[in-house]
Amino acid sequence: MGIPRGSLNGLPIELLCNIFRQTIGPESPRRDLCRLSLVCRQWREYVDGSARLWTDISAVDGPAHVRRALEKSKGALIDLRFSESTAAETSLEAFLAEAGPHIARWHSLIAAFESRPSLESALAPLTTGQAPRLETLELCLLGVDDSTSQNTITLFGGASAPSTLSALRLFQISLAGEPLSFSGLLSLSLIHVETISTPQLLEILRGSPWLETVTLADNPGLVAIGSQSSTMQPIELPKPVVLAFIRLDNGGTNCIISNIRIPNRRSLVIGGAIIGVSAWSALFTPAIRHILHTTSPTADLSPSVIRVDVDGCYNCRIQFRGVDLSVLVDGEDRVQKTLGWLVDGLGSEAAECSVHLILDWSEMRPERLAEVPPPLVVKHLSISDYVFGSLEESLCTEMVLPPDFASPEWLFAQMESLSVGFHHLESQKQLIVMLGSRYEQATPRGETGLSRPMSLRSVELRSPPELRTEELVEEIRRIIRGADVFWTNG
Amino acid sequence: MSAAPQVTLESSDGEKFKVDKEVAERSVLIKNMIEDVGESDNPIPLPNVNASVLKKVLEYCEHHRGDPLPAADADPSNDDNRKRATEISDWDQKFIQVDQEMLFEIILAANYMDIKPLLDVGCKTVANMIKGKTPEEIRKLFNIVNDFTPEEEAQIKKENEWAEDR
Repeated sequence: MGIPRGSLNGLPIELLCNIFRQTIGPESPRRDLCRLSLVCRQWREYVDGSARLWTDISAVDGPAHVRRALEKSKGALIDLRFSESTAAETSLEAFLAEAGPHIARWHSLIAAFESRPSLESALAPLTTGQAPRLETLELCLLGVDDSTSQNTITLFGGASAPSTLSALRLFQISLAGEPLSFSGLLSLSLIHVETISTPQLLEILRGSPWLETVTLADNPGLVAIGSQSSTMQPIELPKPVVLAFIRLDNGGTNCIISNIRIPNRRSLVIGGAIIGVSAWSALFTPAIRHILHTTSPTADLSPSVIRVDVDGCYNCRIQFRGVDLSVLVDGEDRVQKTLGWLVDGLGSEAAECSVHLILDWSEMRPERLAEVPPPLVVKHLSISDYVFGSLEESLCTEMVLPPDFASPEWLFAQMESLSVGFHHLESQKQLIVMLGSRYEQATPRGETGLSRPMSLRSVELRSPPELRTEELVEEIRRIIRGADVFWTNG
Repeated sequence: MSAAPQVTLESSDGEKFKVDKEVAERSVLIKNMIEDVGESDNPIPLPNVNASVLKKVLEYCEHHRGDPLPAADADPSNDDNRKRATEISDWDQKFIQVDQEMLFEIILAANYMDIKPLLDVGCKTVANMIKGKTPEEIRKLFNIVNDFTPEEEAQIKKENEWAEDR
């Protein structure tokens, strides 16, 4: 009697095995396979006979299972995982020695391990041989080692990387000798790679035209190469690219960015510190100009809003058309000066852009940060009484004093939306006083709609439910007629 | 403005469904049939799908009519797709909240009609039902009989170095 339709075991074997495969996690393939095998004879036969169910091979399952999985996966591509912290029964050397004879069917190798006298020999199949179908390679050296020479390895016996290799991630691992030739990379991540130099990196980028993601962090060898770079042909990266440059030398960042063209930029992340140097002279300036002039953001990015998010004392994040600039600054005026890079880079387009200033967690004075370089204006301000304890301190006297329309120093004149986070009821009263000062002292009561000292069209109020009152909303609507006033979760 | 071209599909139990060609062509099987035979007023027979299942499948196709079609060589079992095993959109999750019999019929229909995204949703749903369960819980959930002898069961556990605490 056949198995009836409408039951799980009535599905064809290929569908059932497809389902089984999706139940096998990387943490312990052995445990998941065993569970399936113990359900019934039919499932056991399917599990035993399906090579594709045995392709996830993790050292955490122990040497016996590794050998079994290598055998049962037959000719299928295999995904290898090793983590020194969990592979109690198997060393890196033993794991790779078992998998080494199958290197022709390695599909991925993700390994995290501690330092040893010779990484070169520990990773022997990979350092000496070819892995012709390898797509993903992640090597992560755990802990920090003083001797960088021990962390240097050769890949693929010094030959070109396989054209199938699309993702390469190295953490605290350096490559020996000449730069490898890559041709199929989609994703490159080099973190704490001591030996990579700017010319080597540029050669990797030049040989990898399909790159979509590049992450470079803490690589001391990526420095400016001066006149050598000006003679180079620009490197074109035509696919939407996400670039992240974190804690690199400013000159190196500038040099790398200035040598590439990204016609379909998705995002560019630069993380750096400009503490103790003039923001105007910080070497990101030409890189930002280059990016803005030689690339176009993808269509899903807002073209005219510059979001400035100041967090704590020093962290400043500026996001604009996919450029995400995270810098440490040590003076309030540096935020304005950093925005000056964008104004310079944008030229006449800057007049069409507005600043959204987010100060919810900042200890910097909003009235100082509002002095953005012309022609930029602050059109949105998000503040909170969390840091300052009261909005009166947060927004300071400029909001409370009667406005001086003639003065160019008068702040927030073009602000269109305000978002206020409340943690104290007292702050709500202060907001009413401040808005009243702005609107009702400027013109006789009842005429505020004719001569608005601010262009506020929207006021978002954020707080826990217990602090919300409809009276506050009504009071603000009475002061700023026609404005959209509403509560949200804060 | 001219009306969108339509086709008629006929289920195994003889019920006819008139749908927009764009909706019907979410099925690669139907798309190929239309390309091979050309447009015709004759209903397209689907002898492996009954009316109640076809109605449900067409509901899915209608909702996803504008979605980009998956690549022809997309392998649902590859690593990236497996990583998304638990990722099913809210609408799809609600759509697939059906009894087990209907769920397996939808999977069979999606496989027969070659609608990869629907097949994927169905298989992911079953995979999520299996994940984290013991063999006994799986048997109970899917009404599967344990046909192992105690000796066989012990042997499998030994082969797999089964650890009960895992």
